[in-house]
Amino acid sequence: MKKRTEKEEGEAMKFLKLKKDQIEDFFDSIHSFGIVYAPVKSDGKISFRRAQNFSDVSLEYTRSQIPPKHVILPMEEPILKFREEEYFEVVDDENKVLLGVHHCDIIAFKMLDEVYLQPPKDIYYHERIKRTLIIGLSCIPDNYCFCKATNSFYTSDGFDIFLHDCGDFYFVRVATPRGLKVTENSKNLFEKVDEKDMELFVKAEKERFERVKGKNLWMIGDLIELRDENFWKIFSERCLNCGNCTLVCPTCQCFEVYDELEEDLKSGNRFRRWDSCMLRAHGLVADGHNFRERTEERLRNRLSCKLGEMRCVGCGRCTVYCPTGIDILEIVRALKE
Amino acid sequence: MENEFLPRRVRIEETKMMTSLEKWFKLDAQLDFKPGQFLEISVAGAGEAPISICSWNGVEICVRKVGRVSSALHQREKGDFIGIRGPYGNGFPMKEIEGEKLILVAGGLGMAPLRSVLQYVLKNRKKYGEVTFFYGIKCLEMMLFRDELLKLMEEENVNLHIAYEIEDEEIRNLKKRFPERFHKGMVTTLFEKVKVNTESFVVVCGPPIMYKFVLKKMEELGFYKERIYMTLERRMKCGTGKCRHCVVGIGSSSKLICRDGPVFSAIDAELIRELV
Repeated sequence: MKKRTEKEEGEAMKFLKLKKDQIEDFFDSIHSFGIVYAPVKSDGKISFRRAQNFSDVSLEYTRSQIPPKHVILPMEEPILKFREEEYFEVVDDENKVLLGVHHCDIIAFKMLDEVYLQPPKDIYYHERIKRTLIIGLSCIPDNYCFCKATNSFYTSDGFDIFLHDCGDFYFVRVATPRGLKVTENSKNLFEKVDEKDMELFVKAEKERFERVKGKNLWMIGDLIELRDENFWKIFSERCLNCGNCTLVCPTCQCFEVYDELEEDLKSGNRFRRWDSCMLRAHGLVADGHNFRERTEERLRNRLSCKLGEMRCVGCGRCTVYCPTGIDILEIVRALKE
Repeated sequence: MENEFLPRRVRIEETKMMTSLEKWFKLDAQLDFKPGQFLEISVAGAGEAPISICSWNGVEICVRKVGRVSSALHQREKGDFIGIRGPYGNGFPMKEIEGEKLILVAGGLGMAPLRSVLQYVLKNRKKYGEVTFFYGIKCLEMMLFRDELLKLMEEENVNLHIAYEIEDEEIRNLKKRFPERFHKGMVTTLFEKVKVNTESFVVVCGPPIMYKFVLKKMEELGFYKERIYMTLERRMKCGTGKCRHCVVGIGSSSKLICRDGPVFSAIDAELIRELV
């Protein structure tokens, strides 16, 4: 199967420069390619929302609370309409521009591709992601980031355009023909890069690299398997089973499917909604048996999914937003002790 | 583009209450499937549930009324419509078993998926060696496909034995009619009462708790682990390996029951944590 991010023959990266005083004009120009979703600050938190005015957008941020995943995979979406036993598709055909996505969140989309684009393709995910222009943005790491350990510090694909903050300009990487079309559409905003720009690009990336703490996750998958229940109890005793860690995770894929009837009791919608493996009902089967009844079983399953199968991009959200401060790296340290 | 979530509308051709809890449906559907595969059954307004196909001649399901979807399904009668998706899953390795002896071990509703194997074997009877069927039930009222199975007892094709927990007048009568075929106890006790060849292939389906006991018993008796197959249950929401409700195991060896199963061998059970 050809991957979404796979390059056509002859396709290569193109490098450009965008001065910061041109970014607003660039922002205005991308609206012609679709509805723009960008990092917007409200209540002190960053989230990806529809952004019409550049003044609403915050391009300098560390991490959004909810990852941009929801733009492609909404928290809740109708997948079918039905009338009695006749079913009809509901497919979102909106063109979108997803602006300001960090490396880790772009790599998270590549991980979601592995699930949702694997045959049989999930058409809801596929239709959205193929209609979405992704514009990456370099990040401002903090102490919670561990993307070096998960090999998601830097990405060379999964985006159309990438903006690297180099002080008073953005070093721009254009990765796809679609991205090229966008930059050519506003030719006057972009400049060619010279030696000096390249040096500043390398310098900015080096500085970003220094800000991410070095960690390594070797043998973690085996250790997750080897540790017994008593090990997981240390952490599960602090767990509230709230599901925040999965809600904010850019690679979590679990969903629930359910129907809602209209007033006529004949027609309605079939929805799907994000689910969480940390909630008790996740492992429940029809006659009440639960395959992951206890918190420690659910916690181990989550760690196995994230670090055992390496479906983690080191964004640090699960730690930052855990109400009782369960730190994924603290678990990693304990696993190795 | 093909949408995997879009159910096909099918008509119910026939229904029958099997017990007070289980209802059987014959569906008007053309389907290419293997014994042990399952369907996502859709009842508009109630939702979807994964249900095993319980037949080989045509498409039939046998549904216990336990939740929202199954309760809604129980209200449907002959001529009504429901939605189906699938078939999903790997199914039993019927080709691999050809030429060998086979033991089917069913507990309770586990009879349903194994009936698909049974019908397949009966249809291709010459391809298989001696066939033994062990079926564990709580009481005679809970016995599924009763008429069919009693008819089988009169034939030579399959060596059928029933383990029951609660004895009543009717069972006592059946014991007279079919000597040595009804035994009091759990399904595992049949391995003590009936002589079986430990080189046989074994296919197992029952409630979650049953697998541990059956596997233990087979290990004691010296069956080959790679010849024991079981079909497992989880709350599969998509059937296509995406919703992840059916994940088992740890790390890179983890499996999705809907895509990699629902049929697994006893070797898998040893390698994959939490499988049974």
